[in-house]
Amino acid sequence: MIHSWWMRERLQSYLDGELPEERRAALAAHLEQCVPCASSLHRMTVCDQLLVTHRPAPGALSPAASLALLERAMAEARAGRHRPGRGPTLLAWGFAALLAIAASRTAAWWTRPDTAALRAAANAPGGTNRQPEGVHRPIRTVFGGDTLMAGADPGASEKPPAKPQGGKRDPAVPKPPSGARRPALPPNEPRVPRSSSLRHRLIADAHSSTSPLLAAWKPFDTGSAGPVEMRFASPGSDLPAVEGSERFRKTTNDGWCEREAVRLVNAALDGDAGAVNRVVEALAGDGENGPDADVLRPDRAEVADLPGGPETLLAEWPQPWEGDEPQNGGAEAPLAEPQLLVMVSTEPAHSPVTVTEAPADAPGYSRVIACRPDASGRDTWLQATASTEEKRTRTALVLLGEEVWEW
Amino acid sequence: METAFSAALPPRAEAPDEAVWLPAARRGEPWALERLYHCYQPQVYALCFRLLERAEDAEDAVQATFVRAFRALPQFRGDSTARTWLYRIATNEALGILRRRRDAAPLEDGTISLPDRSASVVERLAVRAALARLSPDHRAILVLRLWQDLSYTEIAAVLGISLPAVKMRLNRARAEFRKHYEDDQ
Repeated sequence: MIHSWWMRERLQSYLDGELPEERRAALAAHLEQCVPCASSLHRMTVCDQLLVTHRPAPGALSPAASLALLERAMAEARAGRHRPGRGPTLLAWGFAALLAIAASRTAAWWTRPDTAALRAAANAPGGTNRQPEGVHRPIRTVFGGDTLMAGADPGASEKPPAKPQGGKRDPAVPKPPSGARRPALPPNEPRVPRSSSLRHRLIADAHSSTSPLLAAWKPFDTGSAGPVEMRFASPGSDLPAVEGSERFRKTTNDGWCEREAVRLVNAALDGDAGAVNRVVEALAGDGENGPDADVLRPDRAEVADLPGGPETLLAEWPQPWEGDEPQNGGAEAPLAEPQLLVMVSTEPAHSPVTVTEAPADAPGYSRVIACRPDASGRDTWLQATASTEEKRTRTALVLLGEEVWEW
Repeated sequence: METAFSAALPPRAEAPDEAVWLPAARRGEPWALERLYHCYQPQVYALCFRLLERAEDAEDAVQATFVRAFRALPQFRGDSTARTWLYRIATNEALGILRRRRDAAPLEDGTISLPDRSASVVERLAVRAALARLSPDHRAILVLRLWQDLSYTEIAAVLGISLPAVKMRLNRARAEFRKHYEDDQ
């Protein structure tokens, strides 16, 4: 019995002829030696044959019936196009939705804390110089390469914008450049649409043994670190819970990532096809040879040149057993040790973030916590979890401090 | 890529000179809409029949599919093939019928009495019973893969889900079908 979902999916892809040739050959070699996998494949094959054998073969519609159906369809379609009153109804609903959105945005804007006034009060004589309980200073997450805001001193390098007076933006506060949060793309670089599955795959499959990009970035000097850091730790390491102003810095045993890695991975998570391509290339590289030195070259092979596009590649990341001899006398090879990928801000967390360790008996388990700008440009803590517990695979994305949801 | 089973399947019907009539169909010209219908109606009907297993329901689904298609054709951008686009509409229509049917009536147990209960018939009934117990989504993905012989990419386009989601759903559907089938044996 094979317990890992990715192995069953791999066998299924093999059966359906959806594996690339080299992986197909590798899996075929594996199947010759691995009895559980061969048995599982056999069961799948029998099941498929059963279904294919009993595929219904409906007779064609008679010409008269087909014609009648066509006439009814055309008449109904024509009637639907000119149905009176439908347009205004849709318009009314759209207008109502716009009004509701505008009202909620306005309410959120006016009820947000006046951080400038609070800071002024704190710095005044007799002030506490501390952020009061319940007041959330925006977390400055920065994912742009050149525009990365340096300086680890919270609040020293950037002042939050003052609350607008009279509903207008304070002209003295410069508007942040629109490209400040994401790296600029080359003009003709293809983009792939934002996709939760893409994000999930990038995060959840980050195993260092197959991910030279993730495992071998040079540590950078924490003294000059930007406000965003990324780290990787094995589940055995002593991972802290983050509470209040406590930072993630104190326990790590796998080192810090370069700023560029942060930029690259975040650009990939945002659907930047070029970044996805470069991350995938690095992940698909040979772990024994270390990271690909050219992986960050900007005009690396574009994703359009890759068969199946980025989603295919992400779905087909190499698994730890691949390229190796099967271990344990042909039994299923163990997965790589799960890794935890954490992106944190050096700013204090605005809500408690708890990191739990991956259980040793759930090898396909990984978690991530990330601080990323949301659609409106504000910062958001994100936590994603992917786990395989026996037969079920569960993925959750938790928006900390706001609401919790899953998909 | 040829699968273990696709070799036995008939070649997919291609829509001849689609490049000529599809733009006209987008403009709503009746002759082109008729051409679209005649090109794809057999395939759409087969898909609906396999999903619904009732000729009347399949005809209803086909009609609803082409009504929606005729209305939406001006917005069809051609990102996917017309066939995939029609399959997507047809699958949604059939899934809607399946879900309504599932809500309205309890599941059949598949024990239909037939005078000739040869091994083949019994096996077919067991397959149908196991399929009937699947959720509409799982049934749809099995039908698209094994009976309509769509690739993962095509299934992703038809169901509007990502490629990894296709693999995961197909994996679960196969496991669920196998479980139901083995339970009945």
